Amino acid sequence: MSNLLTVVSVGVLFVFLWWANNNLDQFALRIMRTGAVYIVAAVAYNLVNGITGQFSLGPNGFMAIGGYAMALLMLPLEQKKFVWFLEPQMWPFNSFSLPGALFVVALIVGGLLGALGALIVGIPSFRLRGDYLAIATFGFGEIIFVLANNLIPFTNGPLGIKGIPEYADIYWCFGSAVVATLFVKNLVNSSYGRAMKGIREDEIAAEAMGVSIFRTKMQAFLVSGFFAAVAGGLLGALVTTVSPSLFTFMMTFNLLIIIVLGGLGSITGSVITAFGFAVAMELLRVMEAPINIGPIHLPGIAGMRMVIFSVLLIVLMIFWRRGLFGQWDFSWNWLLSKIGITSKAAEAISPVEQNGAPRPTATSVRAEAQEGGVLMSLQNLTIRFGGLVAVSDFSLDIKKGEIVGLIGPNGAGKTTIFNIITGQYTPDSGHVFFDGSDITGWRPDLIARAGIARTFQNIRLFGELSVLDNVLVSEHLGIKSSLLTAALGLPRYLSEEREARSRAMALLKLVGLADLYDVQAGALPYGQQRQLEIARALATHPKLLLLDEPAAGMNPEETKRLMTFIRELRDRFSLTIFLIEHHMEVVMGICERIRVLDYGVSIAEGTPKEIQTNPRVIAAYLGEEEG
Amino acid sequence: MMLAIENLHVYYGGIHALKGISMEVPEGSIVTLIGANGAGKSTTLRTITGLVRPRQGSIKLKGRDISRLPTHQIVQSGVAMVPEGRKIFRNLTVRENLMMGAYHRSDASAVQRDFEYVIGLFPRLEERLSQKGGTLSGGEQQMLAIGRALMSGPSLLCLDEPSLGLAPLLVREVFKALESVHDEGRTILLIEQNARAALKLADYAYVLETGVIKMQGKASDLLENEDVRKAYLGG
Repeated sequence: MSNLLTVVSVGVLFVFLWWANNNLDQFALRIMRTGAVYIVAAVAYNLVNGITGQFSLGPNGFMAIGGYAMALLMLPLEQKKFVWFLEPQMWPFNSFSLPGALFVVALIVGGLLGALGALIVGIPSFRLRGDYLAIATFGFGEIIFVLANNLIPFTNGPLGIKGIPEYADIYWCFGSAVVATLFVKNLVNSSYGRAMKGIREDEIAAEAMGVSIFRTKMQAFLVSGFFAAVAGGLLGALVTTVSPSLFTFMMTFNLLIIIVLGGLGSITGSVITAFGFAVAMELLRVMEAPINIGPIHLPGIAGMRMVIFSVLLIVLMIFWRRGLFGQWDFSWNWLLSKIGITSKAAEAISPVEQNGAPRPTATSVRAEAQEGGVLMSLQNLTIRFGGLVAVSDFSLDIKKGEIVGLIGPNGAGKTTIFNIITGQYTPDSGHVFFDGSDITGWRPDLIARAGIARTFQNIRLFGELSVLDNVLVSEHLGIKSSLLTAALGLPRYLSEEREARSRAMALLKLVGLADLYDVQAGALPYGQQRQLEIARALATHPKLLLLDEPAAGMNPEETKRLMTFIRELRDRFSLTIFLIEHHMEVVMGICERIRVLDYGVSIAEGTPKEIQTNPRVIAAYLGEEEG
Repeated sequence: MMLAIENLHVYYGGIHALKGISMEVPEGSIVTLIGANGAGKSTTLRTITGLVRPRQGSIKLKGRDISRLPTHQIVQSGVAMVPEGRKIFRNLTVRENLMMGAYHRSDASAVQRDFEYVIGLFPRLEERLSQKGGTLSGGEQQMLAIGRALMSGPSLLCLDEPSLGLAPLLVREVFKALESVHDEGRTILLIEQNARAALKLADYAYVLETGVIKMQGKASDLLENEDVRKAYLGG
């Protein structure tokens, strides 16, 4: 249904363009073409800044790469001789030129070079955590600018490359805009896009759910670099000149205005504001000409348009802090449900078959437990922060199918041990063996893939994403289709997506959140957020589940239900569970074995009974029972 | 009457979160609000402190309607809040955190008096005055959050789940501190999942269920009440 509507509307668009091409004047057509080019650039830019939440300042650099690549490939030979009159043009570009029919090849080559540029900037910037990308991309744009000015045999310097045939007609411009928008929108709605949004919302949580931070950021950045360069090529073939002044930082600034105005993270917003921006830039040109209002004479002020845009931006930020569209995006389902043709809920739930347990257990957990295979072995873990020894010489074996509790006073180092197991911290000494391999020092996402999932003490959900999408981010590690397959919406990916959705819905049903699947996770009350964290962790298909204070914020009745639930989970998913908890009824009620930690040192281990009566534990942790 | 809430309605987007609740907190008492997750307990506190705006109804502090005041003026008129999850200033020292609580006060000697009072109440904080708030353990952070609230010299102290994530020994310590704050003559409104501890401490209690007050009474009576035992005390 949606696909059909998309095809029909694209068809209608091109019929309109055909009409416009035959009936509108050159000025109007040129504004429309510029608008379309801005759409390509803005959508690409928003993928990195809005969707993935990485602050890049480099689209002008990538656009320049695409612009120059297109110019060097497409400029006719006689024009090349004419342009490079100061110094001869570099070989091999002085010896060939592509015919107009191969304009698309020039655009794609430019795009691939843009992606290559993104790769070069991305590798060092994404290796480091933090906001290095803004600086690196800003520097990259400046380097391209300086190179373009000085590599005269290659770029003809500040004079630029003039006389490019005007290949970027209205069909090419809008065709590219449609392709870029649909590609990016499909990507954003796919599993890859959810991983990107997960990184935007909470990098640590995304990584703990098996999302490779480096690779995912890189994917967004490469796609963005590709389309930015395509936009650069189109722009060059639209204004018929490619010169350094076309791709100054001002270009990035304009695009930044567009994506912020439209809403960081809203593709719809980028498309609409990009086009609106291009139109407004032309219409507001009158503001820069001399104006006579009765007796008052205003001289023309160059740059007045930017003043107006800046004021507009400020006003908008005051009243619509998240841009015109926030993170909202248009979808056919939304429109259909608005006009009452289908219900949104029906559309979203329909792919979900009610097939009960996502992973039925084949083997009896009990039997496995009795076999007593060790699933995880922590050996002599020690970690220091500054001078403080947070965990000291900690060793523990956990057998398959066990439920083991870790208790101790606040600040004893319990969560630190979880962070070591999941790879967030690397221990100063000691080893973590899991399922036969030494996983000490592995990246968190690889550890998640190896089969360890966790929840967080201070809840780290992807707050802006829906309940369902939170779980689906975890399903990303099981997706086998490539990014291209996903963004093109090929059947192979779609069937994977359907399966992931049905598994995710089954998990939500299990934790009692199925009815709330489209609610923003951040809007759930505390207790349900904890439930969602468990569902999200289960979606990574773990063998070992680490629960960090699962009962925090639950009343005794809810706590009781949680205990039953944890036991059920263990049996149903053949899980092994390691949990930190302060609610003694939980720890004593479900743990088969309890370890007590104080100041980073184990002070006791035993069955619930033994722990409850252990004098050291009572002194350090439980306190004397009163009343 | 320290605090009187009447017919309070609060909406989150389209969700009717509080459906006309009325409650009173007499001067010098401890009143607790218990209920399941999502019942609207936190919303009630957030509305009292002006973080959420009511659609309808009044909140009177010592007879004066504060429901339309901005949060900082509500704090100035004597309401202090210990938020859920503590929300301390992680990069400020313990001393700076405490002094932030007294931000709006100009009487330096009274601030100094309260500072000494807080330090006396939580001696652990004294050892860590120059340490950054973020480096404290969970229990110490909770003490800091309570201390910071007391530094504003409140007549009404509101607490949202002070026992969240605390070890049993610390839960007891925090509740003891609340008792001593109460003995000083301060009024306390307490939200707590640990309903048993809350009811033991409080004078009067309200039971909130999906935005409606289902039951109220003396805390000691509710502690014995069969329905309350079943629903909130774990049988």
